[in-house]
Amino acid sequence: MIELLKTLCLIDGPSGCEDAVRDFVRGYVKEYADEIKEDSIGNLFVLKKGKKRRQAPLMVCAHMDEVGIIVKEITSDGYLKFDFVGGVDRRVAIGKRVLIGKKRIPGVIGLKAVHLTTKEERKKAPKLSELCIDIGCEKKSSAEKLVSPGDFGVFDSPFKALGENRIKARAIDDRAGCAVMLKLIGEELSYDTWFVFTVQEEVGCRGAVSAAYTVNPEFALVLESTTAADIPSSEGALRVCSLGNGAVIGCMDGGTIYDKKLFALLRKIAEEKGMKWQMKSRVAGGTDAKSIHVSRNGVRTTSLSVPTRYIHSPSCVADVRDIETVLVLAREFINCEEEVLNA
Amino acid sequence: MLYSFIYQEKGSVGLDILSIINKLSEHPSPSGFEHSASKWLETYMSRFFEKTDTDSFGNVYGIRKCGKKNAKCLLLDAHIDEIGLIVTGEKVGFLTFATLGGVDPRILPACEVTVLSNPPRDGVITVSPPHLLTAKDMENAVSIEDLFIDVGAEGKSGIEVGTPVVFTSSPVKLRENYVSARALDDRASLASILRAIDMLKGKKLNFDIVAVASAQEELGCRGARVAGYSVDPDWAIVVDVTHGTTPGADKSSTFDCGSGVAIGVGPNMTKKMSDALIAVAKDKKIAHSIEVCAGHSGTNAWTVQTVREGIATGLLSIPLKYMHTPVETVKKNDVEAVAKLIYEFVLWLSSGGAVL
Amino acid sequence: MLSIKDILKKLCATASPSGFESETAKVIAEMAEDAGLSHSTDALGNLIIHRPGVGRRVLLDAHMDTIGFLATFIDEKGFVRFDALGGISVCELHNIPVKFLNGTRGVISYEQKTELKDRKMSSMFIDIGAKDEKTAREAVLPGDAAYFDGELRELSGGRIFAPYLDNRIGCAVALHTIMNLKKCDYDVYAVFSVQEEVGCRGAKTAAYAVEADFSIVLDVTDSCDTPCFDGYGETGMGGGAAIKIMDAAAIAHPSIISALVDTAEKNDIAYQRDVITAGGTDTGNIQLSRAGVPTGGISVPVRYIHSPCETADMSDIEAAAKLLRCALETQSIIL
Repeated sequence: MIELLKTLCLIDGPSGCEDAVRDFVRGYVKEYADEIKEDSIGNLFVLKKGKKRRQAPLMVCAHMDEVGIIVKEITSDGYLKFDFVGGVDRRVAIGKRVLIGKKRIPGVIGLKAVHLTTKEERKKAPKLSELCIDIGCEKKSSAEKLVSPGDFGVFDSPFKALGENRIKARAIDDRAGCAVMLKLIGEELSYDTWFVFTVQEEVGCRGAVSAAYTVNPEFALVLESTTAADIPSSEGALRVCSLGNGAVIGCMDGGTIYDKKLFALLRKIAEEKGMKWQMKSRVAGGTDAKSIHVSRNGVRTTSLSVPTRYIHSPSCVADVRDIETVLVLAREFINCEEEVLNA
Repeated sequence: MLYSFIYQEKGSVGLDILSIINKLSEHPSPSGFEHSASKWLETYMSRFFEKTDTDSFGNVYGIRKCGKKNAKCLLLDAHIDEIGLIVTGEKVGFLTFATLGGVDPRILPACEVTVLSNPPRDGVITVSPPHLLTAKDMENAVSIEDLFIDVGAEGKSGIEVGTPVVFTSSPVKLRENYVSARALDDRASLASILRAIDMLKGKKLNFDIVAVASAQEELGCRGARVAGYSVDPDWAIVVDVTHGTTPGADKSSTFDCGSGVAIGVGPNMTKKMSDALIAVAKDKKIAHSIEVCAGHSGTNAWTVQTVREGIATGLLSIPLKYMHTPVETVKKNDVEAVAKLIYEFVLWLSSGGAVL
Repeated sequence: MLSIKDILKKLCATASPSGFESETAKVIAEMAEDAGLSHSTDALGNLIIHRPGVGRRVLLDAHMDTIGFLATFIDEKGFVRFDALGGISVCELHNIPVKFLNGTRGVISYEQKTELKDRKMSSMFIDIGAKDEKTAREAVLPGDAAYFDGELRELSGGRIFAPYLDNRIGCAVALHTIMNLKKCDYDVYAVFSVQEEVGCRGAKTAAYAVEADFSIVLDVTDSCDTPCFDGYGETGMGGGAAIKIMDAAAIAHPSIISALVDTAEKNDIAYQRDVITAGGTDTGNIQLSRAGVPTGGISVPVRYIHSPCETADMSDIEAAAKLLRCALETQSIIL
């Protein structure tokens, strides 16, 4: 699992530019899948046949895209002006390394030296318009040979172990979900299941709109990474959820009120299996469920998420045990007998 | 590349400046905690010098004798310390910290760090998820009291108060001869000195050279003061970095990267040293500009100049972008210009320039 | 034999604002003489006690000066205007008793019209009870120094408070140690230095003169355990001797830190690792003397430093003294 997640986290795939992730996934599932297809927006559909076929089909999904950077303009002195793809707090970009475009041109996002700032300046986060990427080019003409406006970029951030059970990487949101799906696709399943690797979640859960329409399922399980703020500067409910406390079962977030029976079912599974589970203590963020549960005549949707600290930054941190827990619960859920799921 | 070709002398190490920088970068030495890096550096410097030494302060010396008795001595100084953080305590498994040297807290959220415990531990500086923040929250810089180091601990981290921390970042080559890394302030300068010494291999000189990689510059130019006292040189050249031009910085206080070496002028630099350095740069057509410091140069030149009876002190600076961030950036050509100027200055000084 | 508390009490009964340390120096010198130790005084007024040995030369430094006040002007109504000797916050100075070195007592108060947040030293004055300028001048002249008027008092649980535990504690630790040192080959110089509070000046000349192989500074450190303390250290009262890692002026030498930690562990002495980012000590100047002197520090956590009610725990003071004595007697510091 760790090796797989490492590979996934190191592939570049900002929203709208998920090609490399999709290529990897397609290659990985080839030997297990019964059918693979792709739609116009870029979602990848993988059918894995099980022993039986559900009357009421189930779709499992995770998004391939990650937050990133897009080049907007090349200045006369060769710097790149940029915007974020997806919700990034610009304060986490300062002093970080980035890789721009397919050729992965290295660049840095600098900050005026502290020596040259005033006390007032240091109290404010620089505006996005004041930040730029330095790839070393001194002239617009030389930078233009390497980079064009519209090129995507990602933070250059290695995958590392942190402490005994934790990992640090970029794009854990939602390569963790992708990794869980890839594991499941490699297993023997009780029922036919559509696994969908969606695109453009970070810019408004857009891939999932068409994905849900295409699959037209009765049930959906969204595998995600979710906001954990279990850090000393947050207290009580503001901690949202905590690393090491198990899978987050979706109840309500910014985009979805999750199906109550499926919530109860997942909770029951977790308790029977002795797996840790938790709920989020704040209604924050949204997932592909937002698009899926209102598709066509409605889809009964639930989610399992991996608590992730410093989400949408170059250095996300998650607990491997939580990812394993999500895998176990997802497996039990998708193998649930038809009567149980329909109940 | 050109210089290493031209100046490759018999017995020289022949290392390119970038490979020296890469090597230096492998050994973190936050201010005040240079000792383990110093040990390594002494061995490394022995490739360049016939004799090396360290002192209790963590300064490392490379000594090149000319063989004459009572010879005069030139001190070349670049500091080996880098800015960092220091652990001050622990809050539910997260480390609290203070800064070592001038760290702008704005670079810290989600920054990767290495906690220099034994063995070292990787860490990430905390940041609140954007989902919980308002646009207004994001306009303000996070204050250091709200930041912690996450080392992945559950419960007690086992890391002691007083453990130093550095940014995690290895050098990366950018386009057009730029290199970006943490601590190029002042490893780039040290690399230029080592390169100059290497270029001087085989040249006959009539004075001694002592190069010092000095400790605790970022905390108030402390190491250079005791180094100056120990070496007791006749002349000193301090090499440090200055601000490279970047978008948003006031151009009057910065130097364009690629403009060569910035030669310091002002009360902190002994005039005859500045004059001589400028004259040699002009004569040998080394790209340079003049850096005017009305008072404190903000470098070791400040403390070195008044050691013992006083030392004739010059200052050479390398333009560096994004100083005191994990992505400090220099242009290789500027580092080479410094090496070349030191080389030419030494030859000039040895061949009659000793009127100094 | 004098206990460390006896010494502390004696020192707390003396006065030594920065630049005017002779009274305290005299008391220390007398105690040293009684213990058969020789002493000398240098140009700045540092008191240096020498306990000869054949081994490495050690400089123990404890500053004996304290913060205080210097009369600068006497107005026509007899109120004394003053400036601070050392770092004193105006907020500590509201209706506080003080005493001049000549025995004159007074109360520091403030101009009523000035808002609290706007008060500076220049809006404060000392009322010595004089009717007018003439009678005031009979008691106090510009240039006279004053200090907080108070003595050592005991709190419950072995804790004490007094105006100048900074740095009577360090002096008591150093003096008690050198007076009771048994076997020790080190050539020990205990310097009771002057003018630390105005810029660590005494230690600078003393360190140059002694030219030690290494140095240990005895001082106090911030106790960060009061409600909403905004320093972010972990040093606290009752936590034992505070082994200096870093202060605003110095980072202790790694060999000294590890030797002190080892000594504390081996001898079962309570200790804590001390990192403070505000406030420097003599450590800064001593380590930069000549070609550099490896320097460390043993401090005692004190609450409300630079106020008239500096508070400390006797157990920390005793731990500091034991740690210093063990480190010297076992000669654990090898550089």
